[in-house]
Amino acid sequence: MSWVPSSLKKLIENLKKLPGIGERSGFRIAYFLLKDRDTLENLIESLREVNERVKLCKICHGFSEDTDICPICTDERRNSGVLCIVERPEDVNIIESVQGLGWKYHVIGGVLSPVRGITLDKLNIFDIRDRIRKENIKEIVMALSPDVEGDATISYILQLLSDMEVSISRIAVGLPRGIDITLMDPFTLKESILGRRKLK
Amino acid sequence: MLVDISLTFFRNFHEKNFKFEDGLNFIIGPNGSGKTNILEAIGYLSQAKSFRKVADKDVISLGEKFFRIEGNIFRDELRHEIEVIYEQELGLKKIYLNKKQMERSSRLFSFLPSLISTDRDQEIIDGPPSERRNMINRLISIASPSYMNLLIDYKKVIENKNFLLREKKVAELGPWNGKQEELTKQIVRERASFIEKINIPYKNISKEFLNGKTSVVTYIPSMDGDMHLYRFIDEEMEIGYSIYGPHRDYFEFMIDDRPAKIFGSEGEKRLSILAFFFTFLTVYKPDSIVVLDEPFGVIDKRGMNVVLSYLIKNQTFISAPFLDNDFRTSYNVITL
Ligand SMILES: Nc1ncnc2c1ncn2[C@@H]1O[C@H](COP(=O)(O)OP(=O)(O)O)[C@@H](O)[C@H]1O
Ligand SMILES: [Mg+2]
Ligand SMILES: [Zn+2]
Repeated sequence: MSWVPSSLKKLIENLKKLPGIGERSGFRIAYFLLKDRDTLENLIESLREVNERVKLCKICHGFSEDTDICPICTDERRNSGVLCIVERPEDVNIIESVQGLGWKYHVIGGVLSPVRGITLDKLNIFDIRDRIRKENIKEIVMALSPDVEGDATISYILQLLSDMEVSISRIAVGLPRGIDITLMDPFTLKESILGRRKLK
Repeated sequence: MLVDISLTFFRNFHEKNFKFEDGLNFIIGPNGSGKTNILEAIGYLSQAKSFRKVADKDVISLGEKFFRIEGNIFRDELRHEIEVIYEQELGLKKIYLNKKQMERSSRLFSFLPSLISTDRDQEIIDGPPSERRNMINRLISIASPSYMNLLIDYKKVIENKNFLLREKKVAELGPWNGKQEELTKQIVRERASFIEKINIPYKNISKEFLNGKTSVVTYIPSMDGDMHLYRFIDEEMEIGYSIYGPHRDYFEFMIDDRPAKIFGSEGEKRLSILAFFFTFLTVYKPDSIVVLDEPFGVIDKRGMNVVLSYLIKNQTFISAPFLDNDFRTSYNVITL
């Protein structure tokens, strides 16, 4: 094989760790960046910036920037009394894009899957009770994966909140089963939210 | 229907294509000519594995490094292509539907459902209960595709539950037991209604094959629909895995009210299974292919006509060492 600078090789290796990027595209991106140094500088700056500024909110575990608490959690106008439970920080944006700005969110960080190492202690679920009390939450909307792991997680949360005065619903599980919200088109997602099924 | 199949380095076929027709397809040839191998390859297109219970590497032609099976299917007025490739070096099996890789091989089965009968059918009766559960699961999945999703979900629940039982994390069992109870109700209901629907016609059809004797299948669920799993937590903890539920359900074949396993002759066992399959075809009229490996070893000429009378609707592949002339003219025959 011909000589390749070792730092360049390292870059390609790191690019390959990104989702959807294999040997070929890693190679192409790396060579592109070396030709276009402006883009490269901007990217370096941008990577450093997100790394320094974006963290997880102490209340909802979604993204926040510079502050410990995110703007969603401090937004006084979000007083609809609805708390939407999602798996990943990015799910917040997906739901918000069709739901408007009235709800609050709680990112639990995944769904139960003991075989894959996701046990109760790995999920942000034990602080939900506190939030219901402090933030005057009247309805919990679960937007978790429509599969057995999602089902099991929801049944655990139901149990956890069984003595609390709050109504709980789950966004309608569309067919085909197994399609989670990141794969839904906005119209279907909106329909699923409107058609949410009451669990308690 | 399966239009054709192309084999590369599969068993004794290095590069070979076979064309099929709707209705009956006979595969004729002497012992060792590769009849079962062709049926096995057809089975791969539906079940992504060998019905002979051998590893994928063992069906690669001796001395080669991979095998490839490609089949064209005509369905919903469209042509579809299924491709199964196994590379020994990587130990990797890839399945493509219309050039797109399939994530779950079990989805293949709902695309091309198959009913396969071989001289191993006896094991369904003689073997452990899982043999009978698997066979019944396959048939119900053909009749009702949502049943397969129940089984996939159920399997996931049991895997997670067993993990927690092994790690002695009882506190976290609750949601999984809840889900298991819910799925158990649905699976048991499907199985019970399947057996109920099939048993009366099965009695009549088996009579034709067993010289007047009759077969039925009994179903004993491991757990009643309204039982609660927390009653068994201590027991399951002790053992370290889940021991109650549909994965422990019991089916038994009876001939004239006696267990076929103990009292049936070898021939009677195979005929009981064949009759069970034909009953299924008659009752459910499923859109599946049928594969029969040398069924006439245990059936006489009269029986042969009875068998053929059940196979009018489904595309069928039958292997036999030779064939009477009157059959040769009416059906597609592949001679090896
Ligand atoms: N992996 C393999 N590579 C090459 N030939 C094989 C392989 N496995 C089996 N065979 C050959 O296939 C033949 C058996 O084919 P089979 O389909 O069982 O015959 P039959 O027509 O009797 O059903 C045997 O001759 C055997 O040597
Ligand atoms: Mg054979
Ligand atoms: Zn927040």
